[in-house]
Amino acid sequence: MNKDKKIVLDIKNLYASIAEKEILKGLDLQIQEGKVHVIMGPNGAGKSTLSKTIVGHYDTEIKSGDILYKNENIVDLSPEERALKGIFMSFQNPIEVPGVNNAYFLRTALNTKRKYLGLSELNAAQFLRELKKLLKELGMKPEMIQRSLNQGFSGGEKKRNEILQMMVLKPDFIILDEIDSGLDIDALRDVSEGINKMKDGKRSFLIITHYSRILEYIKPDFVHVLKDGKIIKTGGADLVAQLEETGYEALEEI
Amino acid sequence: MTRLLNLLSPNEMQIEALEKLKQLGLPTKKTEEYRYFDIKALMSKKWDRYIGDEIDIKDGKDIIIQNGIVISMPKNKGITIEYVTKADMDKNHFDPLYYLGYALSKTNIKIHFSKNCDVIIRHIYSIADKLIPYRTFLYIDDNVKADIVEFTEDANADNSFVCSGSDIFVAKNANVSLIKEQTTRKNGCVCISSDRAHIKPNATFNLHTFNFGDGESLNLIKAELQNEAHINSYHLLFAKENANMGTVSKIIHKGKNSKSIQKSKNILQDSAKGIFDALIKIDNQAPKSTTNQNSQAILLNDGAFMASKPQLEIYIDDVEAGHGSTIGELDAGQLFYLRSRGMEQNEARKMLILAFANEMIDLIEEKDVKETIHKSFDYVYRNKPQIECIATCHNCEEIMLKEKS
Repeated sequence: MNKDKKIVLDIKNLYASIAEKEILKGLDLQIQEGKVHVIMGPNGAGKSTLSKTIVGHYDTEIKSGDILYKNENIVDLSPEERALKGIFMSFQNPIEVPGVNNAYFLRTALNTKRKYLGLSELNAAQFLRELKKLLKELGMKPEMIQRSLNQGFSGGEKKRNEILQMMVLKPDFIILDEIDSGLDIDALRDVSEGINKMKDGKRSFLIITHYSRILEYIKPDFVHVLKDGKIIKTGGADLVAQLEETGYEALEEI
Repeated sequence: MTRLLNLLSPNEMQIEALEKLKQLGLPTKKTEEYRYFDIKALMSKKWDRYIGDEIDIKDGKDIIIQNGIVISMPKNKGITIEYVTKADMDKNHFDPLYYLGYALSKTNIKIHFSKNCDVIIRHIYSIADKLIPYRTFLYIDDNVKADIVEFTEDANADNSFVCSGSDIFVAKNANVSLIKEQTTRKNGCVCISSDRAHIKPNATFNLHTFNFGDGESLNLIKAELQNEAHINSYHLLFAKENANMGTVSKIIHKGKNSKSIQKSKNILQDSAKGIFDALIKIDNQAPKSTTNQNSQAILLNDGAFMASKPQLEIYIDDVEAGHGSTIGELDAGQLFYLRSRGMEQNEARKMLILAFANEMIDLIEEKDVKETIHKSFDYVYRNKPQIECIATCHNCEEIMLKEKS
């Protein structure tokens, strides 16, 4: 990896467990500012554990190691502190929250962030006018924001809603955990376009996926292979083609 | 309390009520329906009964009943109001305080709905340290649709005891919605409302009760369903500090194809005690009836307590019935989801609690009433007099979304 580039996330020798089972076993990973990183790997390799650990999910327990985000160790920070500092994870299975109006949730989240950044809060009218544009861009029906958060949404609607949140909150570092699973071609294209619009040369992405099809829409700068709790190989976009051809088993540990 | 029952020249209805009360006895700590409610203190206190004088009823937007006396009512809405000393009292109510109310009430308020209408009934209590007994009869005629909202206002009725309730007669093919909102406060008046609903064939009765606050209140409800009759009975409770409140009910299916749905949601904070003690009984003359009963409670503190006792009694095979009860904490996955978007833990908790309550409040169709209930809840829960509109209503969104780009 180019040493001159600015590193936004630096994970060093990370050991993490879920329910006392060690999943991440000395993982090292660096994410560059403004770049799209992809993590691929077989089932059970620790991909989702990695994303959960970065955002501080209660399931995960860090045994040792550091996660430096913009040169600050975040392992002891709460999930909300990490979010306010600019880390965003699109959930693999977005949680349904009956009774919480989607628009209210989005505006509360946005205003919390604006307050953190020292900006004035948006009132309902200002917020909804902005939101309406984003809905159109994502091909989402306006009614989606009037419903309870993710309740009764189809798989595709939930994923679009995750991208909507991302576009509203404008985070600096975005983890997309299997954003492509359960999406049909149209939804995959809309979601990918939403992600591509967020690329500004400063914002960084970590895409976790099983499949290469989303990478036809979003071109990765780096591809990492995660196996048995460690990154075993890092390469460019061409590594995807190699993996398609040979599979994970053929890769030897570095 | 027994001192009060030595009535001078009781009327026919009072005599009958006293007889029933004698059979049931005044409730004690051991009375099943009051097991979880601190009835002993209420019954042992030396009460002075308040009986107000009838006055001329003014024309007004709402029906206002102050300390058991009708102050105003809307004219030309197809509603008539009169005081009665004879009416159809239930001969087999389970609740002794149903009869106590009749025994101590000199007169009873009969409200008759002869055509479709919506009305608000405001019950105002403004006298301290008194026992205020009164009862109402709501008669809804055949084929009439009536939307009735009852708000209770404790206007400095410190340490009073309101022993009230309604007998509701829902005639054939009528459709009645009764929304009862009550916020009780610590050292305010204790409100025990003992109701009875008689639901005739093909009639529908939608009951929504909302009990909030840090005081004491109990809803006791008996409902009987005849052929093809429906009841939807929804209860939301938010109790905090040392509050003690809840619902005790008996819904009895007496006719074929009758349907009942009963849902209760309870949020208990601090050392509050909540009660959901509800029986649904399907008699042997009620084949093909369906019922579903569910109670959910969230305990926000270690000291909070919920007595949840949903019960089914079924005396015939050909029915569909289900019930359930859960008591727990907030969902960890939902909490994390909100926090992962930057919301501080306490704010996320508040949002989830609001959401839990919203599911019951949003069942109300009438927008203004829904907003009023939302505000009442928020006032008690967040000590804010007004909720942000986008949280609950869709007015802003609808307006904004309809605007041209």
